[in-house]
Amino acid sequence: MFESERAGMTKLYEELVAVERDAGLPFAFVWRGRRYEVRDVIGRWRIEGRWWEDGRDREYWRVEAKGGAVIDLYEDRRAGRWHLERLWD
Amino acid sequence: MPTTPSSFVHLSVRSYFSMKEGAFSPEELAHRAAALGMDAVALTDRNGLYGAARFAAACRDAGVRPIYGAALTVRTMRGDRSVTVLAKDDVGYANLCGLISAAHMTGERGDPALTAGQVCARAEGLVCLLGSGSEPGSLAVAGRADAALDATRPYREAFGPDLLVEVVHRMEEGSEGEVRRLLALADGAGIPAVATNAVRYLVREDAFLADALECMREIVPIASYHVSRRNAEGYLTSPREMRALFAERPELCDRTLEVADRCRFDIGLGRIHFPQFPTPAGRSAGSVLAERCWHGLAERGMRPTKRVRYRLDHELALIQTMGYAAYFLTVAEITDDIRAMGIRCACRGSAAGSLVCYLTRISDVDPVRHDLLFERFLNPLRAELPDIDIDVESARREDVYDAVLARYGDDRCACVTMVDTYRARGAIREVGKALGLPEGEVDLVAKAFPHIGAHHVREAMDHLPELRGVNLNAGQLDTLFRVVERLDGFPRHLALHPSGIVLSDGDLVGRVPLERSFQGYRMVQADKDDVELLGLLKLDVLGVRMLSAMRHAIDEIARTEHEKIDLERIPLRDPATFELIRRSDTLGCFQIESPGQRELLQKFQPDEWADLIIDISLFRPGPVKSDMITPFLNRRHGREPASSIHPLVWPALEESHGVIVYHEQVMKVLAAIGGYDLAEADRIRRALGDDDEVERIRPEFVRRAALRGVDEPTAVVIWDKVVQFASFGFCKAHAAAFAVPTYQSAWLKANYPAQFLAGVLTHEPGMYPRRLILEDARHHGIEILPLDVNRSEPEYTVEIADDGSRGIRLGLKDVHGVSDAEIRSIQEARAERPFTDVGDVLRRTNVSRPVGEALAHAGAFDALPGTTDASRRDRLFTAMIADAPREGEQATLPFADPRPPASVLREYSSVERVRAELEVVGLDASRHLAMFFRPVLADIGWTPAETLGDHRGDQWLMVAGVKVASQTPAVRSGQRIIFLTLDDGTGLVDVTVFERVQPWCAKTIFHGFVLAVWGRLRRTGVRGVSIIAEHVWDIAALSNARKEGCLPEAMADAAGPGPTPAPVRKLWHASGGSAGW
Repeated sequence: MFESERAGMTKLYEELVAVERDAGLPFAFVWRGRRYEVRDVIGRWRIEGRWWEDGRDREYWRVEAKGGAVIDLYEDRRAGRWHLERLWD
Repeated sequence: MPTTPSSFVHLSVRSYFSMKEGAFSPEELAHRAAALGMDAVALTDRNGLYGAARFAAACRDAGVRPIYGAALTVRTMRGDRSVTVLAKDDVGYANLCGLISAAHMTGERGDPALTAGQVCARAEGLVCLLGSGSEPGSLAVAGRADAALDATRPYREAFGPDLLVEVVHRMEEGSEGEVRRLLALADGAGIPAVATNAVRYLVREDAFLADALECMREIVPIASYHVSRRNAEGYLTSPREMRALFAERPELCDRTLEVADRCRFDIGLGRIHFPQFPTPAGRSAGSVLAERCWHGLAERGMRPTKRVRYRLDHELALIQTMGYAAYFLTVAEITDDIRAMGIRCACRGSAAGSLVCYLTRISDVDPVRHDLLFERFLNPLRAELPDIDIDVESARREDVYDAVLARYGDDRCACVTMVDTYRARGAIREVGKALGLPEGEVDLVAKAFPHIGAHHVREAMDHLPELRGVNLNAGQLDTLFRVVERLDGFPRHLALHPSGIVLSDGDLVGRVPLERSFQGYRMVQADKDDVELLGLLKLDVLGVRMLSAMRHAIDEIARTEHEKIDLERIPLRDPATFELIRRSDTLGCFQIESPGQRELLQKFQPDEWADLIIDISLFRPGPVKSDMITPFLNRRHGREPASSIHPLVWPALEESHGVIVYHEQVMKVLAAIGGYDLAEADRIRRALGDDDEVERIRPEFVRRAALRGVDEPTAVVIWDKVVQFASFGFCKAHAAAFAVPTYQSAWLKANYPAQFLAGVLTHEPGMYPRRLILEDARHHGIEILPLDVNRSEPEYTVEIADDGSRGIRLGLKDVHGVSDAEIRSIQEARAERPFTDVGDVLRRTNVSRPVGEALAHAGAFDALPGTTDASRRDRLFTAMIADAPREGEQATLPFADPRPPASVLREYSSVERVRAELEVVGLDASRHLAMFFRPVLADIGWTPAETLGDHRGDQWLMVAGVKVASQTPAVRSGQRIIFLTLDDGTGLVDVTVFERVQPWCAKTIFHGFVLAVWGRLRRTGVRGVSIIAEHVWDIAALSNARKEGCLPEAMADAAGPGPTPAPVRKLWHASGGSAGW
C-alpha cells in the first residue's frame, strides 16, 4: 500500500554514478555529467541474496539532493560500483 | 558507551533445532559466541529445548554462559504469533518446559501452539520478549498503536518487570519505521525495550542456508518472492556491530546485559535424577532391594555360600552408595510386568554381570556360575549411568511400551527421541525440489548416493560413472551441492527412539519438555546423549524377533503336542542340542546361524554352555581379523599346549586355555598382576584404547607387578598382551546373556524342529530368506503343506499327519496384498462352515479380487472339495473374472456360481507350483519375471539360475532376475566393485560388476529392478558360481522393445563395447555392423 502509492511517482534509471563519500555517508554524486550534492540521508538499507540467481549484494541510500529531489542510490558491494536506481519525484 | 566485546548479549537465537529455520548447531553457536568474546548467549528455538543439553555442554567447554529459552507459538484470532521467553531460574525453566509440553501435547502433532492466557499463566521465573512477531508487536508495526497497547496488557500483568519489547533492526527498507513503532509501543506501555538480532545463521555468508531452509519448510521454490529475508544481516553480530546499529539508543544494548544477568538458571549437567520407587513407610529403596535379592536366592535355588553372600553384599553396597537402588527396583518391576503379560524378555549387555540383576529376575544369567564381574557393569570410579537393556518379543514391543508408560505416568516416564538428520539422498531431493530442478534428474542424482553423509557428495560425484549422463549443468549442480553439503547433520525430524525409555522422579516434566511421536507415544525433547547429559536414567526395551519366534514355537508345541515348555527350566546339557550345534545344523538359531559361525562351530565342536559363550565372543570382526581363533582352537583340541605366561594369570585364563577372550579376563589379569581392585582394573581396561594412557600406566603396572613377584620382562610381556587383546576382547556378560536365547533356540530346533521353524518362518528373526528356511525344514523331513483357505492360519502352523510326521502349513499373512481384515473374514466364515468352492469363498468373505487371485494362484483353493476336478488355472480364472457377488447381494455377473463347468485350462506345472509357493512366501517380485518376462527371456537366451552349476567356467551366459541385493563394499585397491544378486525364481545368481564396465552398466544397475546380465561364468567353489558382467539391461525396457519388434536394437543401444551376445551380433551382422547405436 505504502510502497505502491509512491511507486507511481518514481522513475527507474539503473545508471552508473560516481559517488563522493564523507565519513562513510554519500556526500555528493555525479550523474550524467552533473554533480549533485547530498543535503540529507533519508534512509539506508541493505539487500543481499538471490544466490541461486545473480547473488546481488547492495547497500541502498535514499538521499535528498540539493534542490529537493529524492534519489535512491545503491552500492553494488560485489562490483564496488554505484548506481542511481530511481528518482522520487 | 564503551563497546567492549562483552557489551552485548544475543537474546533471540534459533539453531537448527528450530527445524528448517536456523542454520547452525547449538555447539557452533556456543563456540562462535566465545570467539566473539561474549560472556553469555541465549538459545531460543521454536517451541523446543531440543538443543539445551548439548548447548549446555558446549557452553561449558567454550566458556560462555548459556541462557535457555524458546520462541513460543501463540495462537490468536489473527493467526499465529510468537513470543520469546527466557528462564531466569529453576521455576522459570520448569515453567518453560511445561509451556513447551503444553504446546505440543494439546494441539495437533506437528502444530504446537499456546494461547496468550496459557503463556501468562506460567510467567513465574521467565523473562518475556515481545517482538514484531508477537501480537502486540505486529499490531504496532501495522500502525495500530492503540490495539497494540491493549494487547500488551495480559503480558504486563503476568510478567511485570520481566516483560520487554524486542527490537530488531534488519537494515531493510522498512526497518527504521518498524523500530520507531516498536519503541513507541514500549514507551507508551511503559515497557523497557531491548535489542536483539533474531539470529538465524552465525555468519553473513551462511544466509543462503536460511533461504533454502525456509523454502524447504514452506515447500515452495526458492525465489525472491518466497524468501523472507532481504539481506544477510540476521547473523550473530558482534557487540560493536550491534552498538553501531543502535547508536542512537545505547540503552537497548545495555539492557541485554541486564536481562542476561537476570537469567541465571543452571541446567545442572551431570547431576543425576534418580527415579522414585514407592517403598513401605520407613523403608529405604536400598533395604527393599536387599530383601528382594535375599528372596531371589531362594527363588533361583542358589546356595547362599560365603562367596555368594559376599558378592551380594558388595553389589548392594555399591548400588546403595551410588543411589541406584530405586532404579533397579523399577527395572525389576518392569520385567515382572512384562512376564506377567506373558511376554518373553531377556536382559542383554553388561547388566547380566550383576548378581542383583539375576536375583531380581532382571537377567537370567547366573553371574556367579559364569564368573561375570559386576564392575564391568557398574563402576563407582566411572561417572556413567547404569544402562540396562531388556529384549522383548518384537511382536509385543508396543504392548510393553504402553504398559511401562501407563504404570509410571506422564510425570516420570517418557520415551527417548531420536534425531533423524539429513543424509545425502534426502537432502538432494528436498533441495533439488526447492531449487526447482527437474524431478527426474534430481532423482537420478539422489539415487546415486544411497548411504553417504551429505558432506561427501562432491567427491562422490566425480567417481560415479552413472551420473555422467545427468542433464543438469555445472551451475545447477554446484548450487544444489552447495546447500546439500551444508545440510549434513541438520535435524530433519524427530522420531521415537527404537528402545529408550526415561525413568525419572516426578519432576521429569519440569526438566525436559515432552511431545508426541507419530504413533502417539510421549517422548522427551532429548535424544539418548542428551538424556545422559541431563542425568536421566533410562531403560532400553528392544524388540527381538527371535523371542517372538520362540514364543510362537512354544505356543505351537502346546497346541499340537500338548506339552507346556518352560524355557527357563529346560536341561542345560541336552545332548541332542549340542549335537545339533556341533554339526552346525543351526539355520534359524540365534547368533549361530551365519555361514561363518557355522564354520566356526564345526571347528570348535562346543559341548557345554561355557563353550557357547566363548563361541559367541570369538565370532566377531576383531578376533577373526587378529586370528585369535586359530591359537584358541589349537589349544582346545590339544594341538598346542595350553599355557600361560605366569601362574598368577592362569586362574583368569584357564576357561579359554590361556587365550584372552573376554573383557572380564583383561580386568582379572590386571588385578592379579597389578594388584588393582576390579573397579580400578575396569577403568584401566577402558583407558587401553588410548596410546598415551598405555604409555602412562605401563611403568606403574610393571612396578606393581614386581611387588607381587613378577619380574620386569614377564610383566612387560603380560602388559603388551593385555593391551593387544583389550580392544578385541568381548564383554563376557554380554556373550553370556546372548548365549541364553542361543541355547534355547538350538534346544527348540533339536527337540521340536517343526514348531521352531514355524516360529522362524512367521517372525523371520534371522538372516536367511524364507525359502532357505523352508528348504531346511524339508531336510528335517518336515513336509511343507500348501496354503489352504480352509486350513491355513495367519501364521505358519504345525500339523501332525496320520503317520505322526509333522508338517508346516503356510500362513495366510504372507499372501501378497492380504489385509488383516481379509484374514479375519476368512477365519470367521470358515468357522461357520468350511468353504466348498471358489465361489463360496468369494461370496462369504470380503477378500478383494487381487487377493482372491493371489490365493488361487498360490493354490489356496486347490483343496476345496467342490473344485477338485478343475485345474488351478481354472480357479485362478474364476477368481479373476468373478467380481464376486457377496452374500446377500444380487448376482449381476454371468458367473453367479463362479464354478467353471469343466476343467478347460491346463494345470500348473510343478515348476509353476513351486514358483507360486515362493511368491506367497514373500518373493512376489519374481512373479513379474515369471509371468510377464518369459517371452523376452526366451528371446535373449536366458540361462536359469538352477542350471548354472552345470556350465563350465569362462562360458558366456545370459542370466536375469529381480535385483534382490546390491553392494558396493570398499575394496583395498580403490576399485569400485558392485556385487549384485539376482533372483530369477529358480534360484539366486551372484553377479560381479567391475569398474571397467560400470560406465555403461552402473546406471541400469542402480535404477533397474528386473535385470538381464550377459557375462562370463566364474567358478567360486564346488557348486558356487558367479557371473562377471559385461553388459546389463533393464528387462522391462527390453520387453517393451520386443513388443515393438526392436529387441536387438534396444539391446545394442544399451550395451557397451566389448563382446556381445547373439541377438545383438545378429543385428549387427544384418545391418552392416555399426557399433554406433
